Amino acid sequence: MGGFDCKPVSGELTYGLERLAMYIQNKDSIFDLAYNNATADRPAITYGDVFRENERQMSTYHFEVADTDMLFDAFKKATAECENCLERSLPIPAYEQAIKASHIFNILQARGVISVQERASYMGRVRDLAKGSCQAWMEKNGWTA
Amino acid sequence: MTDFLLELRSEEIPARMQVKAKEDLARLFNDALAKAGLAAASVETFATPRRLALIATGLPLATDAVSEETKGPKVGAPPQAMEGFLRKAGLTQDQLIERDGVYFAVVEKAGRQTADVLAEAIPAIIRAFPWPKSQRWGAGSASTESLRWVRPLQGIVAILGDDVVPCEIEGIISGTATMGHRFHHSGPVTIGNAGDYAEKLRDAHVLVHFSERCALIRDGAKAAAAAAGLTLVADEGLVVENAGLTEWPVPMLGRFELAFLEVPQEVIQLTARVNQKYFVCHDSAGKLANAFVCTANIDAHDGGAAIVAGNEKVLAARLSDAKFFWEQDLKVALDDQATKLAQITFHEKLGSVADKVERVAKLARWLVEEGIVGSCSPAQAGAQPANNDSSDKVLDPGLRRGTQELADQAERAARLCKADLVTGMVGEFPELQGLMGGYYARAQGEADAVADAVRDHYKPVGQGDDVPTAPVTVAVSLADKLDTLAQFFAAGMPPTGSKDPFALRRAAIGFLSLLLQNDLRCSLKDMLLATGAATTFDSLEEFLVDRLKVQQREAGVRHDLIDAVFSLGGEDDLVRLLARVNALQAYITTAEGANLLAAYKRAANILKAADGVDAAAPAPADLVAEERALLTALDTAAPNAAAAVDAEDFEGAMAALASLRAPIDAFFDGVMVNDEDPAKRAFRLGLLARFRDAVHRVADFSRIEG
Repeated sequence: MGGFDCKPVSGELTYGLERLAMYIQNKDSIFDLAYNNATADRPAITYGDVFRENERQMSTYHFEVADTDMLFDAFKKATAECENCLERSLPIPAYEQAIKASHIFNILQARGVISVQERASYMGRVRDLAKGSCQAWMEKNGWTA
Repeated sequence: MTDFLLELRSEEIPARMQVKAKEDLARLFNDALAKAGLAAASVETFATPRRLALIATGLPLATDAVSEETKGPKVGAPPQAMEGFLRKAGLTQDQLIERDGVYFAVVEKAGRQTADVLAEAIPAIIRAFPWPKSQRWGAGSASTESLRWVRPLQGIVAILGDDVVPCEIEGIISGTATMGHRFHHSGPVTIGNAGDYAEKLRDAHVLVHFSERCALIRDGAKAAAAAAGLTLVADEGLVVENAGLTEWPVPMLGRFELAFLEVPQEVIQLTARVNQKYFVCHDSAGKLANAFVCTANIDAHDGGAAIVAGNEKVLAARLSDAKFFWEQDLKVALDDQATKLAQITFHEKLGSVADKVERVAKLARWLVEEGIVGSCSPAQAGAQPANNDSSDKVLDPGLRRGTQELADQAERAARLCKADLVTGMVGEFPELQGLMGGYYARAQGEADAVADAVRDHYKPVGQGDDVPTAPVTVAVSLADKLDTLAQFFAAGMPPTGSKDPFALRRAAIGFLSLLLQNDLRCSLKDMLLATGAATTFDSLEEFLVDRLKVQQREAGVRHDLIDAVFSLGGEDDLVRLLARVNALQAYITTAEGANLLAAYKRAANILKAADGVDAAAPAPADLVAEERALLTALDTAAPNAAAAVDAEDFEGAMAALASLRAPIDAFFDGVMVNDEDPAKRAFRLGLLARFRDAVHRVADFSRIEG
């Protein structure tokens, strides 16, 4: 994690539940997934009934609306705040700012305003913040790599 | 003599690592044997997703006993020397052997059992294995010192002859049991020896030979397509990849909806190949068919119907995304897409992508208007100097109109060429940049030359890629690369060492290929000035000449000869530079050329040692014949060489140099340069200086090696 070996090794499962459910329920569209156990007196509710509006609004926002100037600015500020926390040996809030920067980068990506040449540099910056947070955590605990 | 089997079984090894892993296993094994003084008659390696294996034949059962002799001090050497030697050898003086007045230590090393050598070597090979990526796992991972392997290592089979080679690494103990196919075979498979390994596993639905799986996939995919009346689009990369994903490969044909064929076929092919590892097929008319061939890792009960259905579903989801992007993108004019480039930063020091597009458009137009790029290049039209400010006056009106149209098209194509970067399709499939722009440009009615230029302006991507020849494409492609190179160098970001984050080396190779292949004549300086980047460009010119050396190495052009011509200065038309270098190389590799080079080096050495040389030193009254002959030859050769170079007759220039060879040889044979008479010496040194200068009309021979 952050370039350091963990002991023991940690892991995560990254299967999308929706994708798995589509196979289990044999549905071609995520919005057709059954969301409940429909019966005669309990009407069927689909995944679409619950989430389609959310999906629509979030898509419109991320692809068309999000203010890129504000986001570029927010990315810079999150980066600076992360470094500020690291200077004061506060790895936990530093890591929160790193995650925030990462999220803002994702939105900028979705808005399509980061060129191929720039993409690597942004990802490098986020990685450095995460690594710095991990490094600070190691130091705080007196651990060596 | 006996045989040895080693199998290292793990969770699934990524397909792309298996071929290299086979090579590494053979190398590490052979090294371990060699260190112990052993060698196998043959070593064969195997790889499947779940195992890496090796069979060595013809191994001796034990290593030979060897006696190692170490030379020690002389008899009568100081006692300190003797003590030191005895300590190092671990012997006492009476155990040494004396021969010819020198002591020798002889250590007898008994032979070792091959099984013992192997038992030591196996864990060492596992620990030293150079996987590109490795991991730790399980309880052992509580320590960062734990074993690393590409995926969790699960078992070791190690059998010499018919006996287990006992070894252990991190709780995994060697034995005779392995596992068969993950679904076709349950329970362990017991291997008897190296001889029955492949067959026992075949019975357990595992084909250990990589090449056998490749052949099955290659032939099976072809047959599956043929059975549907289609032709498989052969793809050896996919064959190898699928062989690395399966232990029991079964190719089968699936279909997708006809409507997806509306999407450009490259998109379908890319999705199928890169994301899904599927082959695609052509119909009898040679067009892409609505079918694919996937490779299952199982003989399914239902003949594969469920597997095919599952794969069809995955591909359909991907293709419907692609179709959505295609339809959405077609609704927006490329000109409108291009306006969005103003919001994309090209590089924080170099402005937006729209800024870059503006620069490239100007440069592309300039390249055409200057006659550097055209339907009829100046070189073909009879070697017009590229830098002719009055070139407009000599063009006939028809040709000028043609140039204007070409310039308009180049500018137009340049303005559209990056617009596809903001389309949905390229956002999803970045590999399709350029190609999609070409489709969208054609769909909105752009001229073919413009659409082609948008499509191909990234080419050539590295050495070996197709080099564009269509004038509009050449202009845009050249301008794009030139701008990138000039801007990054001007901003102080050249590649350093192994770091080339902006792929400037690739841009340089592309730039050079475009120039040379299309015979584009222009001064490099003029082109760099036209980019408008604010810098002196010395380092960029050097960088480009360095790249030229790398690029030309394959064609057998000597780098020292490129230096010899370039270092003269003033030659920055790279097409002409290369023509000069080629003529020079043809001459310098003849016996006569080698002689002239030797004479040049001799002259250069004498001149270097001399105190002051005046090329115009007056001739004394009594010239000897050799001096007179050289003087006469120089009077003709020097102007001839210069004139030939100016006329781009480089063979002629070489011939002019060749005429100096006999006189300079005779001069060295018959004349003493450093004569006692200062006037004679000064004149002779002057002659040599003139000889050197004449040679320098063609190339700086001091740069030539050998």
